[in-house]
Amino acid sequence: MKRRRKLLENGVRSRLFRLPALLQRMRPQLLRLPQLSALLQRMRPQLPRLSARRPARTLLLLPLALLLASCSSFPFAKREEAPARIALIAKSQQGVYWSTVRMGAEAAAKEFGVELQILAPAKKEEVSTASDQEALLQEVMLGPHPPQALVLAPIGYEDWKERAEQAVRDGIPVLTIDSPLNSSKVLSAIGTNQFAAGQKAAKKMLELTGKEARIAIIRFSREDRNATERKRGILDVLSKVPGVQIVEKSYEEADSATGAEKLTRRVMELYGQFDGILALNAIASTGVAAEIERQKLEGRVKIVTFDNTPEELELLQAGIIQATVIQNPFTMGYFGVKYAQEALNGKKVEESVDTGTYVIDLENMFWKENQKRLFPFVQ
Amino acid sequence: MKPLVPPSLKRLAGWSEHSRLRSIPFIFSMSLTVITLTFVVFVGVVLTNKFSSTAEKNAYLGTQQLVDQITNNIGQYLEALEEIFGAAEKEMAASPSITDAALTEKLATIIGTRRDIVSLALFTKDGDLVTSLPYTELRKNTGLTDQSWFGLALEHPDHLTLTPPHIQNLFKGQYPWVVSMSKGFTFTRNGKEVKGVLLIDTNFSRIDELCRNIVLGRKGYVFLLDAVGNVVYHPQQQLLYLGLKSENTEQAINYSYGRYTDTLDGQKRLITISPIRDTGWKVVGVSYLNEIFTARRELSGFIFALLLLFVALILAISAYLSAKISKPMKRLEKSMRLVEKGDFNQNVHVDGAYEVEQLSNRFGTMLSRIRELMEQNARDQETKRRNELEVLQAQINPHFLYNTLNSVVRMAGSGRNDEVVTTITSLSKFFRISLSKGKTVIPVSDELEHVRHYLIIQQLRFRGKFVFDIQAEEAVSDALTLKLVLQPIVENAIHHGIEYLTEEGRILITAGAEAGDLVLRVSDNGVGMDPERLSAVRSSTAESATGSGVGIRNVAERIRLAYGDAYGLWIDSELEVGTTVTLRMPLVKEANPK
Repeated sequence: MKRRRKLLENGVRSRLFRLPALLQRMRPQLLRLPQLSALLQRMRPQLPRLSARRPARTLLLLPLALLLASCSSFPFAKREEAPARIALIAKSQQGVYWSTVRMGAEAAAKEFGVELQILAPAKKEEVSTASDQEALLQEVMLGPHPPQALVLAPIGYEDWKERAEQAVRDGIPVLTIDSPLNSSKVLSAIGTNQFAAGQKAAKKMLELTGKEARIAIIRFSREDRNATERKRGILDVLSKVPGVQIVEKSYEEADSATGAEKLTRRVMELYGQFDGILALNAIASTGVAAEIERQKLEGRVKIVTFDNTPEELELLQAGIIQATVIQNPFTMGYFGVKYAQEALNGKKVEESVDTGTYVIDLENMFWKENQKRLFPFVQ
Repeated sequence: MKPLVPPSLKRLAGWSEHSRLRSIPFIFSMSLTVITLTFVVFVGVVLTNKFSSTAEKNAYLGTQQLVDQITNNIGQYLEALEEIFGAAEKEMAASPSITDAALTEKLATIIGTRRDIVSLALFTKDGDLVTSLPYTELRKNTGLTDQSWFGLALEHPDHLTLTPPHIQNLFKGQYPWVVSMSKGFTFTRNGKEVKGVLLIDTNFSRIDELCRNIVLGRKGYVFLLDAVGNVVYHPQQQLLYLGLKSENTEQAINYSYGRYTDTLDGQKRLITISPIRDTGWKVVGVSYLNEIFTARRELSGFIFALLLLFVALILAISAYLSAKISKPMKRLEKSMRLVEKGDFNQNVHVDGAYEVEQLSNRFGTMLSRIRELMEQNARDQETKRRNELEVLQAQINPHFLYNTLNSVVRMAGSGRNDEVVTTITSLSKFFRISLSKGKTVIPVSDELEHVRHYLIIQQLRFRGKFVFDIQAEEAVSDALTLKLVLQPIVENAIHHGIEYLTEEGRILITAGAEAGDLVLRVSDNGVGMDPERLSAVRSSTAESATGSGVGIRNVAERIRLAYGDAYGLWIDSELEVGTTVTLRMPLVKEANPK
């Protein structure tokens, strides 16, 4: 008996609940009805008999119109919003850094119900160009589901400017992560303050070498804004220390650490031994570390670098690299998508977001908090 | 015809704002709407409460069951891990040498079945690696003796230690997030008993599988907490780690089992907690209250829609019904108004409700009655006019004048001068009273005087064929009477009663008051009438056979029209005995003698 009643209740309920759905489906037609009645009202002088003879009919129209008007404001009539379509263009498909960015972006996409497309050139970060990225954007824009917002990790401070501003003019908000873009049209620049990161690295180096030191800066030859800013930060600190001698060299081979390794060897042949070497990116650091290890100089030549690739962390634990300044790629990806979605929802987003840096050395790398920062929790 | 109703009353019949509120359609719609609203709101509230409380109860129960289920699953998983740990321990204890190749193979088999086991390793109490599976090089700078799994295992060698998630930094190749299980293990190496620590690291693949797809409601989730509040597993673990998200763990630590609600990021959440066996870990289920209350919201929204629909329907129905009722009434009112304006020829018939129809029928009957009365009135007026004309003719009565003048000529011829004088004098007085300055009512004394002169003249003419007597009560002599009512009767008495009589005729005229009425009576001892003739006269108040004088009918009608049906003329007669005619009129004294 109770069961039967329950069944009945459910049946009634399901049927009752179908009505709003039906109303919802018929909403366009229903919404047109008040216009129709308005039209009828306007035509009233031409149709004097309609209302004069049948006042009941006009009376009937009133509650009907009321009902229709209220339809649109029903809580259940709230439309399930179509997910926002956001495209993220990264610098590379390779490397832990970019896979961490991707993780962050995907976490945000999942949390906020965003339809996320992540695009990146198949080449290594060092050899991908802005035009590779632009080709990807072109492709996705011409695709069946063009994005409504763009999260961009632009290669080149200037190269993207035109296209990004064109996108903004087309009503697609553009946010940058990792590297900024020389454009005021960018809604939000999310990333590391590379100048500050450079300063931190230089200070850590001074801690390791002391104030009387010969320090080399090894970097990849391409004009990369992140590297340039880091270098500025480093020089900002080191140039103020009179006892420090600085040698800065860049290598050409982009695709591997061997370029940095060879460069290190050449630099050390030319200038003699250094007290410290600052490698401006992760790949350079592995090359530098390899050469130092080869020369069995680990510990004596301090290496300070950037980022937290597994290779760097191995080298850090092995004591070949003394310190690394880490960024927060997960947060960049997360905020990139989160703010893009918020921008689409008409919320105001911050113009500039600093995702922060930490200096990690052997001593603190396995602290509980740093474990969380260094090693992405892969689920 | 002038309007019967003053204009001020007419305005009330119009549609003023006040009367609109009292109109039938308004009252009808209002009361129906109020009743329906009350009913629907009542039913709606009751239904909503009933449905949603059931739904909420089910949601609570479902969440609890789900959390218990996950707890059970994870408990079983941990149990399985412990079993594997135990099996490895057993194999190692049973093996003659710890580095034995056969043992390594056995252990590899045990571990190889599980992709969630990252590594197995045995360390001496000083932190030296004895063996590890899969075999990999140990890193430098691991600081393993400072790690919690190592210290705890040495402290409580017989207790299986379970750590919160941490990075395993021991072996080259990778840095996985693991949960470590460790226990003290004593083995023999080079013939010596060595204390050590056995470690099995597991990754999160199984736990993730067990928890990832658990969705409580639409957005709810579960996470694992250890005894001190470390998050063991969370679907958004990396977000928590980087501080992009937070989770209320403090409150959860204090609960071992049960549920409570908290608020995070402005959202109310139902937290359901269930402990995993004796591990100190607990499963925390998070479901969002607004989802649970969605049913209530949706239902109340729907009920609201239904309410509006009902009101619309009721308004429509009541509009229709009240129009059905009030329309005929308005039509009725309209025809009444026409009547009011004087159009009595309305054909009032209104279809509609029974009551209204009855009302219209009654009104119709009333109207036709009024019409009848009006016609009657018109007829009466007509008769009156005609009678008055006849009376006017009677006043000069040429036949009587001719007869009288004839007898005067005869009297003069035979030299009866006295009689001539008497006759002429009476005639002159007769006519004076006849005219009476055009008045219709005259004192009874005048009327009696009039008939007396008439009788005198007739007496002289008929030469003593009859005698007459007039008797009047003093009280009625100054009462008023219609004039010329006696003369026609006396004329009849002479012409039909006395004229054919052989003996001397007698006519007695009396005037008196009877029962407050004025009664004039003319009696004769003439031939009288047989009953047939009498009834014929009575029924038709037939005109006199000779038709020259003013008929009895005229007299009777005049009295009736002047004073009503209670008054009039009655005839009694008996053959060979005589006839008595009685006139009855109200006793009216002269009010304003002019």
